[in-house]
Amino acid sequence: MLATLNALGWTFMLVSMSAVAGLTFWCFRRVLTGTGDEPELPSGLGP
Amino acid sequence: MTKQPTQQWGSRLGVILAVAGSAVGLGNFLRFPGQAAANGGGAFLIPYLLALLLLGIPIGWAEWAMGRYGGLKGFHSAPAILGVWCKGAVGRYLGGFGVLIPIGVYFWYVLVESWCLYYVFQYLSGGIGVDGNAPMAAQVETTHGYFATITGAKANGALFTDGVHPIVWTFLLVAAINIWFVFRGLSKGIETVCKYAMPVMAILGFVILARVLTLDSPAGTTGQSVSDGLGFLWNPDFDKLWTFKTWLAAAGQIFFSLSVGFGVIINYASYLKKKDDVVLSGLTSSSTNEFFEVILGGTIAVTASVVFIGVAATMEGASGGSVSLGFKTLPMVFAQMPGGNFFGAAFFLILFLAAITSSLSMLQPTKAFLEESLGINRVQSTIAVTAWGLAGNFFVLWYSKNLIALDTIDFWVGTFFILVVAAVQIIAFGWVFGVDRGLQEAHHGAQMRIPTAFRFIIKYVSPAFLLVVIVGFCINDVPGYWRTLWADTETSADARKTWVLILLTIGAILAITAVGAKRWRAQGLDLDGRLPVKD
Repeated sequence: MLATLNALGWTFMLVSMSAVAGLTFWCFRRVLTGTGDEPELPSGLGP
Repeated sequence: MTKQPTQQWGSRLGVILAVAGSAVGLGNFLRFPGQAAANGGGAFLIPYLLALLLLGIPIGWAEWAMGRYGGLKGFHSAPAILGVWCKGAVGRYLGGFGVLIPIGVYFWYVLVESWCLYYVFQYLSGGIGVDGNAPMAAQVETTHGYFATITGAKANGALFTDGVHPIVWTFLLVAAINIWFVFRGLSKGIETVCKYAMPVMAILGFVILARVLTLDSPAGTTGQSVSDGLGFLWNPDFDKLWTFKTWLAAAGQIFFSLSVGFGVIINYASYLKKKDDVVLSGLTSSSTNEFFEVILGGTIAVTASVVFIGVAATMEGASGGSVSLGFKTLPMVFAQMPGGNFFGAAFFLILFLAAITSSLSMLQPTKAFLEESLGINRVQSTIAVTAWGLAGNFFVLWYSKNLIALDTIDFWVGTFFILVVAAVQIIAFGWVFGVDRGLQEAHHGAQMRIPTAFRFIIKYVSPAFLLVVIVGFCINDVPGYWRTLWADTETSADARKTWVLILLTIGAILAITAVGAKRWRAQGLDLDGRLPVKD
């Protein structure tokens, strides 16, 4: 069934693409700048 | 036997792009839009993004952490690393599937890669002979006939009768390129290729996307617009969400696309240092793959196809899988598109780059496995992996009728066994090693924390889902496949021969693993994961 892109289609497309693009840019920004909180983590653990 | 020098990644960005390059492949541009269109359009993104969140990302994190941990113990192959995480021989031999998958998929994947390069050459020299003004039936006949000729799908050995078909020389060129970059090593080879190929792919993708979004409907053909094409792919059909098949298709697409359970991430991560981040890196490589898949894959191929050749022909192409949509349907689109030869060459160049960054990742785990199991050096392992790969490649090239050998390996090795390896990994991480210790291990050097909810997801949701799918498949599909396999037909005979190849490959991997285990024990390595990691 062919139909032109409707309001729900626009919504799904833009939300999906924005979510993926936003996550990707956020990740690369943190990787490239090394910014963000360093988590408080325990020291090394082995079995 | 002397200890081999350990390879290392040149940069953090390099390893992220290498993992993302491994994940981004033909499936992003061709399989994803076909799956979405057939399973609810925009609504497909609901189960798809849930599967990404509940399966792809957590299993990916586990695989990154397992790889790095194994590397700190001196191991770089899936059998050795899973032996450590599963604390013994069972995990070690099940880990053999983590070598079978990359080398087995390489048997056919590099052939598809050579088809992409062959199409690039053809479009640069005038196209593949499709007349865009001819009736649709004639165009279909031309593209299908052309594809059958270059793949040898008409008969076994077709590529070698009446002289060697030029596609075989293209394949040898592509195989040589792969071998060369793998021989150069992680940093100078794989990382360098991915650092250039990934941005080039993105730029070319956006050039083609801009062209697709500004297309006019060509007069006298379908009369459909870009908005119709996007509507076909993105308008949601919520009824599809009530069928199990849609959810299975979404999960399958995530596994297929992200390369989790493939034996690659575990190998790549094994070259990281103890304080190198794996959490943000894993998330970044996954999101990069999704960027290519949802944004470029979700807009280019199917949209252009609907505009130029209509819904029926597009669906027929998409239902035939990535290969059908890419190599049979899109050439009709390029034949009608203004500047079609340029855009055809650019599109198949994207596919070639996507394919080569993936195929390189299939050779490296096997090479590492041979080096550490047999104690051979880089030159010897390159020769061995070349010979192993070529043996499989020529098997698939010869048994080319209806692409049965390719399809058999693709389905069993490249789809089903991936689920098995992913299940082994997530059970080892969440249950044998322990989810809390596993997460603690993942957090060493991490630049972000894994949200607490993933403790439950990793321990219960991901393994339960994988076990349900695997058991369901074994109950529902294996008996029927078994009967077909032993049918008295030429197709079944070719499938049986392909199974001989698969079983021989499994046998070789198990034997080499046994040799490796003996060596590692003699070297005093902690192959059963009993000791803490040294700082």
